[in-house]
Amino acid sequence: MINIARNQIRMGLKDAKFLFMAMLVLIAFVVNGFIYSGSYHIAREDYERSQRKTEQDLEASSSSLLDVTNYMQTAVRPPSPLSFIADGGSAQLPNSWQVNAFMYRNPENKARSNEQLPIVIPLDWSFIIGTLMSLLTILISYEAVSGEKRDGTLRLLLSNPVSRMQLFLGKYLGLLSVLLITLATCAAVSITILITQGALPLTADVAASIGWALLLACLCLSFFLLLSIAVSSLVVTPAIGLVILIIAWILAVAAVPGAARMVAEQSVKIPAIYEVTREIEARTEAMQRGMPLNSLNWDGNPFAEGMRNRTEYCRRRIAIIEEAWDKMIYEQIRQARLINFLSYVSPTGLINSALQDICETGISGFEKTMDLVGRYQDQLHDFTLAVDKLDAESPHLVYTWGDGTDPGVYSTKPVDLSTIPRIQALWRSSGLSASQAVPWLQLILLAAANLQMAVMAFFALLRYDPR
Amino acid sequence: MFYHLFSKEVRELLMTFRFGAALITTFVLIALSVIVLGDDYLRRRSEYNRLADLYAQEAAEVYVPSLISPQLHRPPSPLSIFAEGDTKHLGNTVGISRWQVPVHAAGSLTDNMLLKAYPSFDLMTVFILVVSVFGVLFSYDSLSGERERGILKQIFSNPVSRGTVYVAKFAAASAVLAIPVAISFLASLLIISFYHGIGFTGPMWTALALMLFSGLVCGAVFVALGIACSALVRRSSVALVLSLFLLATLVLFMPSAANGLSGYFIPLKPRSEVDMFVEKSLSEVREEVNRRLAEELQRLGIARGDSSMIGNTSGESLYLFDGNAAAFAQYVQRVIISEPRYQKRADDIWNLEHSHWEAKTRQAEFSAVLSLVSPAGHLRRAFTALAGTDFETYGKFMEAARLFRQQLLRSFRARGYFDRNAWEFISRRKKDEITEEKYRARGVKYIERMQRREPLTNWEGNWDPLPTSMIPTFRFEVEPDFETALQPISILSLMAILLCLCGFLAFLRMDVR
Repeated sequence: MINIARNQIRMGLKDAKFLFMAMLVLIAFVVNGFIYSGSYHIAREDYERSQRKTEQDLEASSSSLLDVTNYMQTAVRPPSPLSFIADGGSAQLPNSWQVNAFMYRNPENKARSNEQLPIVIPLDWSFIIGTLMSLLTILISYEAVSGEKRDGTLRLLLSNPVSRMQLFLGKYLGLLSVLLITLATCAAVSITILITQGALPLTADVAASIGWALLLACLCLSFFLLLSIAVSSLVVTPAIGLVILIIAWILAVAAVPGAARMVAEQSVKIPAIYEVTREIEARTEAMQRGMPLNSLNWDGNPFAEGMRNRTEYCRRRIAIIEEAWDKMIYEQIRQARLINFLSYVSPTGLINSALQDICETGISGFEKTMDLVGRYQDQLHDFTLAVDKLDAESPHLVYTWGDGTDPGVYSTKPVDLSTIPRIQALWRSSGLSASQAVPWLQLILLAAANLQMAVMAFFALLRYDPR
Repeated sequence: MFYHLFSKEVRELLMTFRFGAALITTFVLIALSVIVLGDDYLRRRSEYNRLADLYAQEAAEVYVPSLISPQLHRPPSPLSIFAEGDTKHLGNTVGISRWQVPVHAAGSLTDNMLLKAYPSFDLMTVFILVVSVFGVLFSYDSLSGERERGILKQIFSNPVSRGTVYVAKFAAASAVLAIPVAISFLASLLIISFYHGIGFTGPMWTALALMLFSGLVCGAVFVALGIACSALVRRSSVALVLSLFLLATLVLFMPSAANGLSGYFIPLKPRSEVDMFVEKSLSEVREEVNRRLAEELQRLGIARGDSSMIGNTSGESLYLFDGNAAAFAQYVQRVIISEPRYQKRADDIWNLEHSHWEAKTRQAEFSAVLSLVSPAGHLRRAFTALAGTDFETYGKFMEAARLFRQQLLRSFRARGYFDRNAWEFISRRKKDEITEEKYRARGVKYIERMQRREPLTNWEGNWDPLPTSMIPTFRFEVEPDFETALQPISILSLMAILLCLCGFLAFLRMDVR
């Protein structure tokens, strides 16, 4: 068995077709390193600039609590240093929120992305492994069994005292080692480039995430390898096996993710933007009907009669607006999650979404950022209430329209700059760059798929006619 | 002889497993995508019609010029079923306002901004991926395989030139590949016409024919690639691997790498530059307007009152809240002073935005140059240009919107709305009717109406809406862009011919034993 494996490795590494594809994979990993070190620096620069601006503006407004908590900060999501593993469309997803103590606006994309570029799959690890390396796997292994039969070596091989189990394991382990050597070398090159370009801080979290990503990649490649051995032991000539494998590969790489998107778009209906605005208007009108009318007028005197009603009105209206938009965004997230979930059917789709979960990019990263921004807004709101309570002269009408049009409705005393909650603290504590969660579900699914395919491949080999 | 060779090749290919697989895969994938995307198109179309009706209705109720803020909509194209392209996720609605030049459209008819991260799956994608793979599969063993089996020697024992054999093989493989392509294309047309009931206009039929043609040419490119590989190497399995390697490089790797590398080599300027300018210029203009207004009011002898307005109501009641003619006069002065300044600010912002837009165009052009040898990129450009889903069509729409705004402002200016007739801009009353008593009386009526919770639009009498001639008409139809499509189609054809020639040269010096 060891001999078969060793022979397989030796032959595999010398093979011209392996060298071609391995060269392409290596180039892809090198390009990946450069692209993502560049984009990480750019995103980092933008993030730091926005942070500096927020600090400046907070300092300028710190003479009054009203100004501080009314100020619409731009919270830019810190770039993930792991987006080289799974980009998750980070250039297309919104990355910037406007937030103050009372509300946050719909997220926007303020990254330096270019909508004029055609939307193609980004060149991240999940693409290189799921698409290019899976093709490499198929190309080096499609004639593992049927090819030996064609050359007549299979009969020769089986005339030795080797069981078919040993033959199977030898082939599998030998080819898997070839793949893993390639993967390890190329990944090391990519990581080296990123580190030397200063785009990858090597912390324990990051290292752990890279480790999990590599494990998932191994399982994915192993699945394609087993599929390839299975097909190779089912067909008579290698060429037909290859045609079947290539069709399976196209289905896994393109058709399943595409179909998943189509199904998700049909099954989850997202309300149009104008429908949301209509809903907000209708609900506001319904709310107004239950309130005394004169309370909505504002004559510049915060201590006037009925101002409590106005506070209540503003609070409720902001709540309506926030709820309606949030509902839309979470529905959008649900749709995108459904696409990810449906593409679990294909190993390529599975590792793509698993890697996004590990690296906190794509939809998982977006959802987490949404939650963090919501939490930050709550923090700011609590802070406003707490500081306002200390001011005896304040009318304590803690509300606003979000643009500070009503002056003096709560404390205008200066605020200690260091006590204002900052969103950076939340970014840091949440570890947005690398998730501590292990993608158990995807790991188990992939392992189960591997096992099933291994059994199939083995039985196919058992009843293979070597003549 | 050519005919014999050709028919032999065709018959052989038709009987292979590959052909059946190609036929079924292409047909199923294309039919599936067309059914789903056709539904999607109908949904977007009805959404578009609803929006357009809605805003036409709202526009018909406007009775004060200052409230004219037309909404323009970008119609979806029926050909987008075949190529979703880049514009599906870009905005479709542009609100025209005096103080802002449209740069990007807002909202999109699909309305999930998060789906931008997922590549679409349409007929074009099937052509790029599936047809290219089968193009290679049909031809990788046409020369090397026959040599291995010794058939090639037999063929050359007949009085036949290498050119004839080569052309017959290329033509046969291309023709056989054309069968699944044409069948599934026709099937998708049938689905769209009979299942969805969508009709096409004259130029669209031409565009469809060109789409089919470019799909066939793209298939021929990969057939030529496969034959060239087959002529270059001695064993057909090596030929297959070589051609699949080239395919992976050209179709999968190059477009992705080109996008990423264009961002690496030509980085864009940060967006914050624009944001900062928008913020800074706003406070500057606001300050200047207030200063000039104070001076002007002092010069005219108008008392400066509280000009706070009431929101969410129509233009006529803007000044009713104060209920006096002086406030109205003050508001007129504000219009005269602020309009030209805010409009100039809008132009300045647009100039800045436009420089960003151009930088992005340069980046996209660089990316296109990097992926010049990729047939996938050319097919994509041809399809999206024909379907009107490329970025240029979106750019044309935005340009049309910008020109529309200019036209609207010109007509306002011609009527003197920003200087001598500014009062008319915010009121439709005769100038001498605007007295303090009258407005006091109307103010009371206004409050009563509010207390009865009646709608506040057009509350004072039933005024006729503005004549529709006040608003210039906007027409924008998505049309196939034949000029833009011509270039990628001719590059594709050239590629097919060049690859054919290379393959032929390799075949000339091939040892047929």
